[in-house]
Amino acid sequence: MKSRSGNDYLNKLISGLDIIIGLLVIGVVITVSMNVIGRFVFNYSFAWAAEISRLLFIWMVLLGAGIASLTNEHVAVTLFKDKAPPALRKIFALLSATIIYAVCISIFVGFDDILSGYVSSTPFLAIPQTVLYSAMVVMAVLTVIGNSLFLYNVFKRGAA
Amino acid sequence: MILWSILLGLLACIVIGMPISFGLAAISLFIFYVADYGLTTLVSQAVNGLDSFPLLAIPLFILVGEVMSSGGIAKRLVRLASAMVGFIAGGLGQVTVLTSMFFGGISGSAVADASAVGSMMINPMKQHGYSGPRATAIVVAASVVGIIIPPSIPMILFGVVTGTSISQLFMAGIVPGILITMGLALATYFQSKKTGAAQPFDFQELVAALKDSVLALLLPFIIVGGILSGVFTPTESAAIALLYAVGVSMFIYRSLTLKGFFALCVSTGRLTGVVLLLLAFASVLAWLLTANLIPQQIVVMLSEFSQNKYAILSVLMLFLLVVGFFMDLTPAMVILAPLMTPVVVKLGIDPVYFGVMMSFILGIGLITPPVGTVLYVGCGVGRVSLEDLVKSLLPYYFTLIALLIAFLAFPGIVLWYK
Repeated sequence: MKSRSGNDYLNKLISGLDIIIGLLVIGVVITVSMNVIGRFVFNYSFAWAAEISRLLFIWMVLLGAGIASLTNEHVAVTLFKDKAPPALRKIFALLSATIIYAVCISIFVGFDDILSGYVSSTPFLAIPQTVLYSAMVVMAVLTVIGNSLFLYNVFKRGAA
Repeated sequence: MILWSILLGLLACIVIGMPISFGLAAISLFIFYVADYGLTTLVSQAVNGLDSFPLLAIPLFILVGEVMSSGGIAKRLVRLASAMVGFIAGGLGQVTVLTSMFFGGISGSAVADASAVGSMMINPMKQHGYSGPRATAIVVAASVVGIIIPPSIPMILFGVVTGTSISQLFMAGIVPGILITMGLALATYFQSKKTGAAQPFDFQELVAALKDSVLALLLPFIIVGGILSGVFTPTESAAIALLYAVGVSMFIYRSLTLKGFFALCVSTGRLTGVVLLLLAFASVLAWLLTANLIPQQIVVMLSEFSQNKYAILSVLMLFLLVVGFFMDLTPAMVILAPLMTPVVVKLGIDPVYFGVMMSFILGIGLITPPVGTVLYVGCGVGRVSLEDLVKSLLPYYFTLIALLIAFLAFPGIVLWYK
């Protein structure tokens, strides 16, 4: 994770993303609360607020997942990997990184295919579904960065 | 073919130690490739899996838990628990178990439970003559209650992926949750009788502690009462609980700053991302399973094995217990719940019952080696080795398994509200 020169850039990127995700969480809290207050106090349902809260939520989840790719915090069972001899561990790391690249590339291709087809919109605010789907692309881009850093560390610095 | 791809794919993930979420995506890709599906489904089904209002309760409940443990709410709950059960032999252990139950009534996550209660209770227990591993074992075992007493994040996940009523799941969790608390309290009593009471019983202190914590105690009532009376949906109750907890912590207890709150929002967002990316990719797999009628095939397979629903249920529970040894709760829940629930429903078993049992069994998996998230949190908070901790946990494992068998033998304990 820590290459000396790249470390500063990585930390800046992560702290920038942290601010965005914090704001997204607050956005979810506010829009959900508006809905509740609207329903109980004004006896009126803000359908658009529910729609926005879901949009913010999806972005929050996928951005959070992207940050986890940068900080290497995804759930994994490392029990066997940790016990493997160093050479085998390198092979495992390479295998895992290759698979993750393949998943990310498939997300890019899948998103591109969606763009070329018919795109529906949300019912109230007419937000195109691509606004939701593009969060997947951002997650995949961050994962490609995190994955590359991981590979760099494994092969340049020997830390699998 | 699909079942084998999933099984072998997951096994490969575990062996090479790659993130399970991306492993799930890779398994779907493999099936897409073989069955010649387009790649658009990977993106659209993953996002559709997240596009559900009940899921919004998850970050909100995580945030409530964070606000509670950093604000003054948790401290007051400990004081109340001390006044209530501190006079019993093994007093501090009892206080820990009861605090976990109060805490579980608000946070909905065993990990939050263990780290918050552990950081408050382990040191006082050590000073009071408990060995480090024993003190930690009590905290770790008691945290399982956090996911059975409503609200419960695993139950929300179960409800969303299987289409079961989350309110009913929460309702069903109350009686088993209280019984588990009592079972653990009993085990703690026999384990640490010798360490003596924490404080003498003092009625005035009890009244004072109650007064001091009344605002904190209202929180579980708002959450549980609101959902059970049908006034709020789980997501709405989570929002109300959050507003309440932030208001009380910021303006009345004055233990939370705006800056501190923002930091909690950031960590909540990050944690939710990790948990729900698993759900996103698992829903692609779940879609493939349903489209290919896999649950129906399993029903046929199992009915050849036995016609007795209790025999099949027991086998499934045993399987889940074994899965829990090797896999974290969230991936196991989001992968297996959509696969198993149609099977048990076909056998005439209530999905609410199955959801509570599944949460409980996978919850036990959180505190069993070799893979147990709460176990590792405990090792960190209590500064003990995994080996010592597991040894001290043995009586608690037996207690939890005994309770599990009781719930299996008497489903009425779980379906008490019917």
